[in-house]
Amino acid sequence: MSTDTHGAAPPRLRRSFPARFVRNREAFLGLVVLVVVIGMSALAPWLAPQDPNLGDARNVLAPVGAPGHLLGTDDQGRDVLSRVIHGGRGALVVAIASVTVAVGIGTALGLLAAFAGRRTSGLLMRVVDLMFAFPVILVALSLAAIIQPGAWVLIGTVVFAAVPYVTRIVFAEARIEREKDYVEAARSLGASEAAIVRTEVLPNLISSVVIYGTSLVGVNIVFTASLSALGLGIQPPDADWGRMISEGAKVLVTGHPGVASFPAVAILLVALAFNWLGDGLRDVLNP
Amino acid sequence: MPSPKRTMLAWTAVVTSLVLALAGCGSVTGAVAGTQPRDGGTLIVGQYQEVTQFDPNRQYSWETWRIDRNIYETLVDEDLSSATGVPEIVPRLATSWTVSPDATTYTFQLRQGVQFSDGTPFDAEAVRFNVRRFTDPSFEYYDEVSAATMSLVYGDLASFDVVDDHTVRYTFTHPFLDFLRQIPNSGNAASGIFSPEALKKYGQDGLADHPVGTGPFVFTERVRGDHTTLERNPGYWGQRPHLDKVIFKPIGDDQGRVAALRTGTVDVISRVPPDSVSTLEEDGFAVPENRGAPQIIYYSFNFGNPYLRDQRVRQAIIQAVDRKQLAATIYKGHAEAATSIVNQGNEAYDASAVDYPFDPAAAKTLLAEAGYQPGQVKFTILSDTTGQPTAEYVQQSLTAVGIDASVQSFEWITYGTRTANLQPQDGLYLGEWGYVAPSWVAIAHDHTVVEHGGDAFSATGAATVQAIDAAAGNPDPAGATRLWQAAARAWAKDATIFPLLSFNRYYAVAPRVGGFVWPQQNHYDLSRVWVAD
Amino acid sequence: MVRRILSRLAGLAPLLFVISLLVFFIAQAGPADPVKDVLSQRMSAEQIEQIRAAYGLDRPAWEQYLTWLKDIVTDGGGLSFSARSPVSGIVFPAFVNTLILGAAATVLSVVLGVAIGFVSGIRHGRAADRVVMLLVQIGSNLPVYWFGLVVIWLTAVRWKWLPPGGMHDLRGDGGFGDLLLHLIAPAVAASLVSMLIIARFVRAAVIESEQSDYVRTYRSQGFGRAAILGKHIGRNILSPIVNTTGLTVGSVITGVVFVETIFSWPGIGTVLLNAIGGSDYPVIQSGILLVAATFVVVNLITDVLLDLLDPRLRHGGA
Repeated sequence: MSTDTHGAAPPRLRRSFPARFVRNREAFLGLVVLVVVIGMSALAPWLAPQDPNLGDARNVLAPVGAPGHLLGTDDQGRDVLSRVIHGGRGALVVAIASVTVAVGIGTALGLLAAFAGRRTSGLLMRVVDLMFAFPVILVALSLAAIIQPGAWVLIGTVVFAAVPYVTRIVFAEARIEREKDYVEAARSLGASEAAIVRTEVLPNLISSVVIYGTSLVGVNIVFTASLSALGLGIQPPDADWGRMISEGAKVLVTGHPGVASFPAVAILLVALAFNWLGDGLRDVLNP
Repeated sequence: MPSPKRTMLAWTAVVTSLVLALAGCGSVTGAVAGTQPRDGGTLIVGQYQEVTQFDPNRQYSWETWRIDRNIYETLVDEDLSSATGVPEIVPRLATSWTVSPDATTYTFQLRQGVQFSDGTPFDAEAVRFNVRRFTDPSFEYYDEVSAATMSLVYGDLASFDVVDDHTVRYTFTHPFLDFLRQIPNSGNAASGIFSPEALKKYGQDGLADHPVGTGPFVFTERVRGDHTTLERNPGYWGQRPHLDKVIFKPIGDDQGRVAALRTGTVDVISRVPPDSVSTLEEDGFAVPENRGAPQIIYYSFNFGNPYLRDQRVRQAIIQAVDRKQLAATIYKGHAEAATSIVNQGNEAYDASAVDYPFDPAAAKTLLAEAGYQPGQVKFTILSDTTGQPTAEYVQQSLTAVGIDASVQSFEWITYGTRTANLQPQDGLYLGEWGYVAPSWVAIAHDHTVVEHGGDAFSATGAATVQAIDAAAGNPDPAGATRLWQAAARAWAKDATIFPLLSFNRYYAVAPRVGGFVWPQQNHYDLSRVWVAD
Repeated sequence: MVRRILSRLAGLAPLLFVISLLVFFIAQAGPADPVKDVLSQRMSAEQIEQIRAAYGLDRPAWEQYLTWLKDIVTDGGGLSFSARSPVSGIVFPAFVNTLILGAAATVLSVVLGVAIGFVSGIRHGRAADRVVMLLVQIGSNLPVYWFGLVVIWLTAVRWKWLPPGGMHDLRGDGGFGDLLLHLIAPAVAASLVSMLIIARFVRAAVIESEQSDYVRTYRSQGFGRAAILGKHIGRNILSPIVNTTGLTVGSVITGVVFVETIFSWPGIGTVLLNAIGGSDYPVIQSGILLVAATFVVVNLITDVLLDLLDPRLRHGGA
């Protein structure tokens, strides 16, 4: 949530979107970091110096800077650097995919609630209230008990958690849009409700939705990491930042903080990048 | 209002400390126990699991019995005062006993003048009430759950008789050489004697919350998930325990438990993580070593998996893993490789028994004989998160011989459910148990093989069952060890169980504690433990 | 006004009813079988069936649901499967502990959040503001699981200031001071994210207020900055604070599961995790229902407070 630090600037010519984007330091920085991280994750099999799952029981808990292991090894003797490089793959895919799905569903529901009759609208928002009231962690635990712990538990939980937020926002904004002149005009010209929603209202909401979506991804990277740390997400021995934290926790208190901290920093960085991107987009799209 | 400058400084300090990855933790300060016992004081024990319940016939789990055996007593007990040697059977609530030559009938003389902590007398009628509760469906106070739990020991009880006010007799349908050993059993189906009046007063479900026994400590309170408190029983018939109070606290997280010990929050912990042993010892804590505690970690096979139905595949799995190396590296030498299901510390333990030796080349040959290409055999290894390094070590060993195993580890919250609902793609799953009594072979075989229909999948399965029956039906103590060892050897041929290792470090004790002994059993005697001021 | 409150209250009941249905059937849908998985120690199939019947698990689902519903109303949820002692005795004390932790975390997040946001807002644009906001960003994206462990490592093991977990010192007699000492670390860990959310909101509200017309008017008339900020902005940012606090209380209760695990805090999160591991349906169902009901009530209180604060509604308009 940044404010315009330029103060009350004099009116200036509207630059094109890409130009404004690059000038916004936050958004640009966020994008750069994300491109780097996504690129690193995609190219992980070629970038990682060692096999992330190969343990070496004779070289357990090597310190940072040990020969061949820039970030040391974990309690199984696996190379931490390679695991960090591989560790984002699952988390990124899960967070981005589930937020995309949630945003899609939430937008649809929000629009429906805004343009449908009062009864449907009231019912829908009551259901949304229900989803809000249901503690998300319990959804995660229940899902883990019903289907096996894994990526699907994370996806299901994130969708369940994110849909009510998106729905409420889209609902509020769509309601405002609904009262605006251009919608009245379109209606008087004979356009159907559905067409109005599709062609007039939706484009005006897109920017809000995209902004909110990027922030949601950032938040959920952290959340899914914590769920994986509890054992509900990505399963071993595959590298995953969240799991690495809980596995590294075993040796953190005995004086080897690196194993758990490097993945934590990675999570932090990615979440920050998404937040900067979202904040920057907000500045750029709504100057 | 905190100035931004101060907030910033505070944050910088926190961040800097995180960045400075310095090792070294505080060492022990405070009182040391010394050599002279003293009366009084409180001991706090950090357990690795939340305990189940304090009903002696419904309880299970080792950590639960470690609490319950201070509240309830058994007719006979084991002498837990020595760190080495199989514990001797000694009198407790019975002063003497006789065994019939065919080992089916046991007659006990009960100790006189003993009272439950609620003042009611301990006598033959009280024992009968206890036994009928879990054996006699016609009894008014019969309880199905107790019956199911205690059937491990009393399933074949033919009759129980009160001979006189202080003499009782148990008669079984078959020779039961291990009965005396099973009475003070460690965890499941131990025969702790409860006060009949308490059961009548509080009901079947209420006894667990109001446990009343004859033991050296009485139950004071339990806050679930937080702690259980016992206090010294002032009316105890035996020698006064040194401690006035004992508090048990569950700390499931390994590192949290170690941290609690270090900071003095608890005085004793169970299940020390192997990585912490050396730093604890350096800092003045005692981590006793014991190569005879009857605890064993093993993998069971899922016979619902098509590949594992082939005996050659199972044998290959066993031969692919170097268990000595596993104990030396993953457990840093704080565990011993187990090459037979008969665990160390068992009366029939045979240090030279090896089921199948480590031989990866032989493993590859076996797989080829069974008709499998490298990478064709696939299954999952189910583990809890504590056993994950072990599972991954096994996985790598299996990969080296061409078996594609994947590890699934679960937080304990889902592990129990998962292993009770095995899928066909599951292959190995972790188990932990162990006994002093040699009939453990029969128990383990029933539990891991027979109940899962595993005997059908080995050529020598019938011979194993015969050998086990022979040992179980043997009335002569002189021949018992030999017969059980023969049964174990027969079973080992089937390759239907995969023993792994036994811990040789388990407890860590703070210096303020004196008299703590880790005997060759899964529990310890608190009555001779004392604490410094 | 009163009508609105009453109508919201009336809406509570069906909401809770639906939640209870959901909870019950989710619990039942899992493959977990409380008897087979946990209670059986080498039991035969018929023994298992006997116990299931004794626990009422062989009845049809809807009948079990109605029995549970009746139990909830009469004694708080029947008997726990694994403990065979009343669910209310397990769930309520734990819930109270969670409330204590949650209240401490909420107070901490509001007080510190407002303070940080306020100061940051006043000094906005300056170096202090930028640094603080950067740290706020970092802090709100830290994985709580890891942060909690680091807090324990530093405060309990390395510097030995604070106890490493638990709710009270088992040796002593407890007391309020002891409780506070044990509360500090977990409350900080649990409050971190909400504290920073509040800080951001407050900061934005302060900045927006500062640039509003009436504040400029006061400034031009020579009133001191502090006085203006204190009186006028204070009132304006009350609404967002209440709103966010309502949201954060909810997320504090949810997030508390992580914190309870790391700090061994005997709260409802720990109870629920244990219950799920033991397939202890009565405890799971009652626990979830209790937490969900709290959410809903907190939302209601928040909405009512917001209505009270909104001058438009107070003066009778609607």
